[in-house]
Amino acid sequence: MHEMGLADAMMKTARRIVKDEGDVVVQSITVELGDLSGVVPRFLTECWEAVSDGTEFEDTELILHTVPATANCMDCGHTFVVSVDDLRCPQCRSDKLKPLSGQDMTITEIQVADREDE
Amino acid sequence: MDNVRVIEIKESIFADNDAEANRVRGDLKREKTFLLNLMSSPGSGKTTTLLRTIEILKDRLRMGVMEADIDSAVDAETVAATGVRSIQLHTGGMCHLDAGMTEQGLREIGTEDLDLVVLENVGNLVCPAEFDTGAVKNAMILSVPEGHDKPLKYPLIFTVCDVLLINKIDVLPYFDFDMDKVVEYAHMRNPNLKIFPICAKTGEGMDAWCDWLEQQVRDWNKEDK
Repeated sequence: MHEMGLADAMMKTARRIVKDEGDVVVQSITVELGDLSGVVPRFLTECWEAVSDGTEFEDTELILHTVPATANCMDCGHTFVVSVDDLRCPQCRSDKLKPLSGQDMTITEIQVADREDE
Repeated sequence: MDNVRVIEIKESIFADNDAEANRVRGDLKREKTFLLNLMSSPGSGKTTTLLRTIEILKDRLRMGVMEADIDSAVDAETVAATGVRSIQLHTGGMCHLDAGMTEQGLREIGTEDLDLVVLENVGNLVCPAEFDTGAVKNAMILSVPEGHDKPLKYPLIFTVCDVLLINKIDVLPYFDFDMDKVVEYAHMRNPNLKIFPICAKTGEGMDAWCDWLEQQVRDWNKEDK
């Protein structure tokens, strides 16, 4: 279960980021997924629900944005936006590609709200 | 609920694991212990390669082994029979080890009197590649029956590894495995990748690999200038 480990890693990083915010409710976490990160967004969402269950992130919404990946052809030098369904250079059909971007999974925003006193 | 605010950041989801891994490496450096993270598919000959490596190096280096598996202690028992210190780590269903689990394992095995600890990661070419364990070097085994196209299909693991062992070269005549191609594809992913063709069963190529590993361990463990 690839996405399970990712959800777990994400939770640990998010926990550190919000640590200095005081007594807050984390409403949402926004993550950018590169097209070449190998992640299935739907699976990540499901794993997030499982991993965050019973934690302070239980009600935190996970917002995922996929971002396009770019690669450079090592044969003809062409730089292009990669289609994950066709990992070849659109110009010369070579499969010798050097990924330039789109492999990362980045937390870009965390929305928090001060907890109301009961 | 009032006072809503947005924290804008740009941090890898692995940021915390990476920081923890760096801390683990710092501790290892201080203790003069080298950690090797060994990764591969299931069935590539990880345990056999490890046993042969122990046989060659156990009189040259003080070794320990951490076996990671989702369950069972089969591998740890096999390794323990060689006389080197070994422990079994269970990942609790996870398909990889992260830096936190590795650190717990290192504490359990006790590194102060060991020169080299080998972490046998869970058999998998995807997840272990994403999680820095805190190891000094990452090694990968690819066996001949798996095929020479793996660097194209699982690029990340070839990118993060320092050394690639191509195992089971004794069966090369029976498989459609192109050694030149695998080297070319692997170097496409990682031009600095060190490659050793080996056969853990017959021992072919094992000395070159073990000499290289011993040198890495000695370089890491020597006093800082």
